[in-house]
Amino acid sequence: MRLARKITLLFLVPFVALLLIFGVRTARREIGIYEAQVSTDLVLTGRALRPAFAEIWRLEGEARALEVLAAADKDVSEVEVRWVRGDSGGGASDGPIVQIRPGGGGVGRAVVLLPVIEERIPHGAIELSRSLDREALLVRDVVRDKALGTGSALLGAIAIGGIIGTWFIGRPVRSLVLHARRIGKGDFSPVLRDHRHDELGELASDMNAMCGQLAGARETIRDETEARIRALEQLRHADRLSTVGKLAAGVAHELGTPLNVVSGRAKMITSGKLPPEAVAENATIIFGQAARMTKIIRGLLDFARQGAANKARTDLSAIATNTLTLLAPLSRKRGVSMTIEGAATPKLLEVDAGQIEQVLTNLIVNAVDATPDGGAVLLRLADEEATPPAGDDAKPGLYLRLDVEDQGTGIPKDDLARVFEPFFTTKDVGAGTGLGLSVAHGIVHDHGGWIAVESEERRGSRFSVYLPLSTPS
Amino acid sequence: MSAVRSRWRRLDPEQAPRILLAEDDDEMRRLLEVELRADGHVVFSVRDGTEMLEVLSDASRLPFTAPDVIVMDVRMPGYSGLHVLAALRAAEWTTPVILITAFGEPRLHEQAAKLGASVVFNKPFDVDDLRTALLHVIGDKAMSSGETKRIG
Repeated sequence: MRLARKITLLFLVPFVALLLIFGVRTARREIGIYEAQVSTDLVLTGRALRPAFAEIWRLEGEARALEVLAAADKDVSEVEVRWVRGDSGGGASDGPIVQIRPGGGGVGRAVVLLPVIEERIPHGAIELSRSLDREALLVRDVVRDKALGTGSALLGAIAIGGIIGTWFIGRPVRSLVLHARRIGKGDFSPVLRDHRHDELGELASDMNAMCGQLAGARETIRDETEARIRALEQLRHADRLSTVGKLAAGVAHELGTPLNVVSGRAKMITSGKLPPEAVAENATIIFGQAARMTKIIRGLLDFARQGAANKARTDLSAIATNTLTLLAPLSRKRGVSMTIEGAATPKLLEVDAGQIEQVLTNLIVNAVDATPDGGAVLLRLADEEATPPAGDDAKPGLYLRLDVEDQGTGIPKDDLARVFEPFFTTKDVGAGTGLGLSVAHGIVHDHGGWIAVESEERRGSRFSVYLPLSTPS
Repeated sequence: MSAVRSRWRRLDPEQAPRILLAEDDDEMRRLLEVELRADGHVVFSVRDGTEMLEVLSDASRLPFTAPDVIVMDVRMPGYSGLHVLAALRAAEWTTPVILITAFGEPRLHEQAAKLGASVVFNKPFDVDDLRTALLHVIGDKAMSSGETKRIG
């Protein structure tokens, strides 16, 4: 609509200007023609009058001649005739002098001077003049008519231009705009039916084609996304199954041995051939195995219960220091020294203090267990721009890195990938449940972080816990 | 069951079957030692696969020249039972081997069978089943070496 109006105006402005210039020129020319006509009439009248005037002057005197002029003035309406003494400016020539003098009301007067050059007649001229008001009126009428005609033609042109513009440009462009908006909102149905063979028609059919392609692409993306989600769900299911499988295998292994001892010892008692002391001893062994199984089950429950985190703003430096203090008696007993670095300043993070303490305890106990008498375990806190390992959902960013480093036996390469599996342990039976690192892994993952391991056999291991530093709010 | 036991008891201690046992769990090892010795076997036990390989390569550490049968847990610290079994077969030892495992995985049974394990037990198992298996394994061995008389 607005586009059509603009185009019409742009087209009409020079057109109107041209019409105006042309009109002014025509008016001027017409005025010139009228002036010439009037002047010619005056000259002819004057020429007819001059010989008679001169003759009467010569024969009957000046007074009689002037009377004739006055009679002529009265005779010829609109024309004023009078005698002007003195040199009319024509010199020796008796040719007429034609002037257009400006008169009152913007209407000029045509003035013709006819010099009279005769003996015994003093120098002078017959002046004939006529107002041009009739011609001016005529011109004005003509100009007004032309202006009216032009104006109505213009109005008509504007109206027609507007209608044509609206019909051929505004309306299709408007519908294209609406269609583009619909596309923007995700409606790709090709509803434009424009069969015109111009640029707009081309644009419309191109838009329709684009809609088709977009709809196709969206369909493809939807299918792909659905396929990906299905694959992910299958993968997750498989992952769950494999975790359950590992867990079941772990439970079978961990509980199988004590159950075997319990059933064997119970069978010995039921044989009834044992002396009372032996019965008591077997019963004690059974009791011990029951306690061992209880511990395994409790560990399993702890493993399953993780996730109910109770997060609050906590100083990790304080937690690390506390954990170290709690574990100091254990390390002293083993002859292992423990040091902490980077805990001088508070490290505030949104964490479950109890769970993180458990993670640190698990890692430090492992480190102490792996370290021979006289060795050292180092706990280090530092901020780090870190990128999570491939396959982890965590985002790259600023993390608190918490290292637990030992100079112990190290972890064989084959075992390194399995250390976080539930029930994986290299410790003596009964010494560890094989759940510590698994639990730690789960807790840290719940906190949006991960645990990295580096280890070299006989040189030691380093477990690095990465926890996201809460952004200042 | 008691019939099996009494049969072994009648044997001359010199001729009693010699069993080499590897089990990392203390209580399990003690249980097997007690039960097998009660049957009249001579039992020597080790804690893991590494120790097992050591005593096999250095006979002076054994109370007998060579074991009649080896009973091993599969999952042990250091070398696993399967690893020891593979090492034995690689060194062309034909001593019958009974494996004990908590993993009832078909794959493990397959592997064990391929390596020539006589029997595989899943924990928890009945000690009497182990007794029967030992009887069969030692009986087969005695038969193949022409000592049928010993078992009767």
